[in-house]
Amino acid sequence: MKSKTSHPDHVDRTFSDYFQSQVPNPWPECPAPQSSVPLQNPIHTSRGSAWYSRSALAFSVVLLLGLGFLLTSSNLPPTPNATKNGLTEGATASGKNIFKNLDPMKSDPPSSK
Amino acid sequence: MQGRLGKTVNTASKPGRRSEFEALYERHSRAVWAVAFARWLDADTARDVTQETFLRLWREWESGQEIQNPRAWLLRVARNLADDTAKSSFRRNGTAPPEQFLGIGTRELSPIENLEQAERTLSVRKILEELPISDRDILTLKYAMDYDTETIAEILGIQSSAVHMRLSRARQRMADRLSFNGVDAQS
Repeated sequence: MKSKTSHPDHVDRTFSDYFQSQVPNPWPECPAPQSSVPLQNPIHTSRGSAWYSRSALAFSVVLLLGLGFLLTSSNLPPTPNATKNGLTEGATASGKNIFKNLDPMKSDPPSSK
Repeated sequence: MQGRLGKTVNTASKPGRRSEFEALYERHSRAVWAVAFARWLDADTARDVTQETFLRLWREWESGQEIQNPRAWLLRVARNLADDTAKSSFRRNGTAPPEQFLGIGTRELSPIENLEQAERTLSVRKILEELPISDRDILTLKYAMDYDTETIAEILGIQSSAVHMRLSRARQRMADRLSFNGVDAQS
């Protein structure tokens, strides 16, 4: 691999002196490739974190929808005299009935003309 | 990995990657340093380029890339990195790469000896700067790494006769310039 020949003339010596003075001594050690590994870790971490966040969000949405559905459809006890239009039997939809229990100081029933 | 040149390199995730990486560094780091040095004539920059080149090799392995010829890949990356470093330095400084690290000897020298050596080193460097990079590649591999002609030809992918020819041309040019500049290489 290496030639051990001497360099007799002054040009060879000049070259040798110059280049040999430039060669690092001692030779630099092999770089530690671990320095590049941390660059990969945040990627894996962020991927895992993103997947976790999305899963948690999806679960929360499903839970919210499910609870809303249960509250609106099944948990309310049916009114005994409820009819199809939502009014109890015998009730009228007149304005007087609607506003009769309201505070008279704050609101008056609309005058019917 | 196969044979002397290491024809096949697989991903970094496989067992034994670290030892293979170190073996590649041991085998090719001097050639990588030489091609980087030939572009800058700066030992520290060449060292930095060498380190970065091998780290990029590792990253290639990590990304799952398979490199068929590690030495050719390393030399190509080192050349590109050295060129990019020169360009960025030019943009940053607006001048040629800084002429520091002139290789003043590490052993204790007298002030006069230091001055003489610095002057001689600067003269040689200026002459080298006038040579083509391909010639500086050969000179660095020859005189810095002490590689023989066949090894240099193998590393650079050229014929041994071309190495001989370029070496002779560079020697002649250096001899002409040294005599023209009056540099006494014997001192």
